[in-house]
Amino acid sequence: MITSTSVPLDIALRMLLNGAKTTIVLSVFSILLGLLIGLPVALMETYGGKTLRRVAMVYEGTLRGIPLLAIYFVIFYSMPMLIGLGLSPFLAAVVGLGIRSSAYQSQIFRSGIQAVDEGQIEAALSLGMSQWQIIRHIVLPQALRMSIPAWMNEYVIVLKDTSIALALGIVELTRQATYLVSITAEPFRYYGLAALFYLAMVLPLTYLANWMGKRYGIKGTGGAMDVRL
Amino acid sequence: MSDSDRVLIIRNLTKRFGEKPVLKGISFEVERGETKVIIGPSGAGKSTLLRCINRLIEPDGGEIIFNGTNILERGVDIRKIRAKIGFVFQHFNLFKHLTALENVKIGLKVVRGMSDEEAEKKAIKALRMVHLEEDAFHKYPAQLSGGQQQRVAIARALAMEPEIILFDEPTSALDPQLAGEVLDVMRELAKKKVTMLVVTHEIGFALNAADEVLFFYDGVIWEKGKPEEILYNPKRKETREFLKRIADLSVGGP
Repeated sequence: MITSTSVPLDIALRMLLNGAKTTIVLSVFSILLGLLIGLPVALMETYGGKTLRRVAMVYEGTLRGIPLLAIYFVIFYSMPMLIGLGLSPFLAAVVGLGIRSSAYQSQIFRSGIQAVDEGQIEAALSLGMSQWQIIRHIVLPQALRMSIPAWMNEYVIVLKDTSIALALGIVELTRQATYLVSITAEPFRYYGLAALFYLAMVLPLTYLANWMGKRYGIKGTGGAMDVRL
Repeated sequence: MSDSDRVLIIRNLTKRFGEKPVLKGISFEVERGETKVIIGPSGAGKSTLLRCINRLIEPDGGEIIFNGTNILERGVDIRKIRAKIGFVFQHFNLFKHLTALENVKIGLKVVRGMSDEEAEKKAIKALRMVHLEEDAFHKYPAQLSGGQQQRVAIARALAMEPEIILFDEPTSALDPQLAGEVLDVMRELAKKKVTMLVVTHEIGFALNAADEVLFFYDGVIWEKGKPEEILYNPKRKETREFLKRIADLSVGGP
């Protein structure tokens, strides 16, 4: 027999809000970890020697080829057995989501880097710049700006995929909704509310992305393209 | 003529791409203060020649003596050499994320290590030399006309106080009116005795600004001499044929 209790709306909303906070914190740490790894990987793939390039490509290909849930299980359940290193669920969630995002971010940055035309590189070389000076002063400032829309889009994906962390026992937004449903047996109401919470986070982000694309895009080039979900 | 009068001496320069020889032993010299113009058919390797001079492309053999140093020797710091050789490209190649002024400043700051203030002063001076309109100083390349962009590119090269400036078809991507404003600037530089090596199809510029014209054909300097000699009275058949083709083009085709 199923017993169900109703939960007052303000309490339910507070629970969902707490879940949403965890979702945001998890997504921010994950996207930053992804940035920290993804940008160097993109540079390795573009400017590295043969070996570095191959290492980066294998890293990227592997992480893009494995489902996030499987990455989570490898990190959370297998690592302690393999190397005796256990991560807390939250840390495992950040690492899993972060390294997977780093693979996608490296793709984003790599195409930004490659979009800086060869002529500008020739001009910079002709001025006597070193490769590092060219990366620092010519390539990255343009590549990063051109990457803004795709990067914001990646953030939206990371934000939504935090829900998979419930498999590690993280009490984020979806997990809170599941919890409410298990008490009340009202899936439509609480999953629906959770969905609205996600939308409320994502929609402003797409506006922000378009605004940033225009604000920080390279002048006179029509700005960056629009981000659509 | 003493060595110090010659900025550039090129001896027997060779370059092949795979099986295809592009430069088959090029030799010529550029004196200080001189304007030398290279003409010749498209796709024959004139751009390759210019890019070999600052080693954007690595030549296979020969000597490039720049200010007394063979820059193909081992142990030469090519970045120091490049900073003294200006390069102006067919497609301008301005840095798209920087304003006109910043495009000129960046080499001074990053390569020459100048302070922002000092770089700004020099950059403004260079932009005035190419007659860039003051209201364009803070515009981005995509907001400038082709002629303005190319003049900024010339200023970017000038500001570095190079020993020589290499021009790779600087007006080929411009319509005639915009080409005119760029050629005017180049004529002024020639008068001011800026040393220039110019690859171009602009016969008018060659006639009234060049000290010597080289006809590049089949991977070598086929013929060279005073502009009037080469352009009005060339000795070799290939030179005549090339000039006739250009003349036909400029009056709307044969």
